[in-house]
Amino acid sequence: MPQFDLPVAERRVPQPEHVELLLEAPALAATLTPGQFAHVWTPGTLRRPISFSRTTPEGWVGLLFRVVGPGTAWLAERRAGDRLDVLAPLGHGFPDPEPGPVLLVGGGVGIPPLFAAAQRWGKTHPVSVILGARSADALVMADDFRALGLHPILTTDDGSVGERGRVSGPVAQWLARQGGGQVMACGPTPMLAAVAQLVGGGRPCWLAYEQRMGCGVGACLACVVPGAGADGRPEWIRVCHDGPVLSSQRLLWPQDA
Amino acid sequence: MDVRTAVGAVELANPVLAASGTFGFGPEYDGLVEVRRLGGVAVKGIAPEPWRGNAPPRVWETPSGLLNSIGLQNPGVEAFVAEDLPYLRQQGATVVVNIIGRTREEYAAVARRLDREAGIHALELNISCPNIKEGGIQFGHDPGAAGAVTAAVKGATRLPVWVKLSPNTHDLAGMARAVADAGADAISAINTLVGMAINLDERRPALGGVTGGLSGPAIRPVAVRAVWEVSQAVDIPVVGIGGIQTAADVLEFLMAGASAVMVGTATFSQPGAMAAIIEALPGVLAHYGFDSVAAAIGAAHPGRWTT
Repeated sequence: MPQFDLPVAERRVPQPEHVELLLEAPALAATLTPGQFAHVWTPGTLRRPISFSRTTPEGWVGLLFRVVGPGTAWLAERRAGDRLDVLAPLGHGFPDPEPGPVLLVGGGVGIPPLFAAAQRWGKTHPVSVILGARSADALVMADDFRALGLHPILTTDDGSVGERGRVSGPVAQWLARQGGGQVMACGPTPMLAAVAQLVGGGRPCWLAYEQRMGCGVGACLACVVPGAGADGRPEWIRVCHDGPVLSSQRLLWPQDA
Repeated sequence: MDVRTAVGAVELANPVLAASGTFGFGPEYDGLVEVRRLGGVAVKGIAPEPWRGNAPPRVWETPSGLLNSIGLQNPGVEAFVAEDLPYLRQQGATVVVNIIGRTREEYAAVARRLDREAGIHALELNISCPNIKEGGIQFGHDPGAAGAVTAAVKGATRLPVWVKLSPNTHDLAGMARAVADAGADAISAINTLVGMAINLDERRPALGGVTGGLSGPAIRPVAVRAVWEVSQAVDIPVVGIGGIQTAADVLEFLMAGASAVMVGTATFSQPGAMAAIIEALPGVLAHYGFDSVAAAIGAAHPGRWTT
């Protein structure tokens, strides 16, 4: 995986505490798979893993993140013309979906890679979108999905926008309505567990996972999650190297592990 | 500028090795780090059988440092020999295999198995990981046990044996003398310091293993002190480890008494850190008036001060 020194082309603030940096990276934009991530240098001892949010016709790539600590606060201060030291593209993204309907489920700061997926597959597959967040000011990219001609169903914990509650209600309705289809999801681990349980084993379900990460390239074994090995025995899966997108069939949830 | 060095019988093209646990088995950094250009690679700790390691989260950033609680997850010696060693051999790397065990016999078993394999230049006996609750760690605090496990490993292999010491002890010099007396060929110092952080949002320890090992620039002065003390307590070479980020940091360890160094945490932030250090080292040595790495080793020791 190459290392890039990329200029910031544009900085956007889609919601309070959320920043999207668009980087000039034509070579990278041409090879990205939705769900792959960048490991971005920030001051300190660790980089920050951030999934790509979009590619643009100008050859830009987007990194959308929430400001949660000193590293992301530093990143949020970057302006057009500043440069970022980026390892990318890292990890495995979403596989090309089979023909048929695709459901994209995004929770909070897990929404961006699903927008990248909507850009990629929105014209070739019938795509439905369900987005959730704790409140309206943490729900990002709804307008971007609408600009693609999609009609995202919105849910918030406090009901400040869309339906009050979690994504699981609308997900269950979609699954009941569609005989087949496939699901791609990214968000907090409890949300992923709920989606995986609702989908069950009958249809493909791809989950973009999050875990505290060290090296980003598979060397340090920090970002592991419990999974099932080829022989069904439990094994650790490295989110950075084996994921971050994993089949729900490979994962064990806390209650199974 | 002569940047060659040696750790006992192990000759190194330069003094910068990748530290165990931070570099996997090498291929993970393919395209970012050319392992043959490094002084050497210390691979992830290897046990007789696969170890599962600790529950995540396994890393947590701290001021100028990093806490980790990996728990020595590893594929076991047979998988290492079959799947990982061939890459390093192919690349022509100088390979130091870090070995771990729960008992003296387990350490010796790994050493015996690796003795038959080509492409290994030294073993590094890890008796100092703070992240396992049983076994290995106890060897890191008790000079008698440390000497016994060193002797057991020496009896099981013809390879040079380096012993990696913990700073989490009150008698580092005593530990160093015990392993040197038992036949160790070199000492690596230091492993991580025990530490802990709390995740305020979740109201629980930040690491799945609760406590972890602190690495990074935060521990560099502790490591320099350890190298200083160990290199004067014993006659065998010392490999310095702890928070090295620049060629000047390397020189500090050399002058404190190290014959070579290992770089670990710096690679996470900057995969090219080791290559940049190796490139800058001749200029830094010249700037401080040295014509070789060898000339700098122990240059700050008492009796060698130039003032």
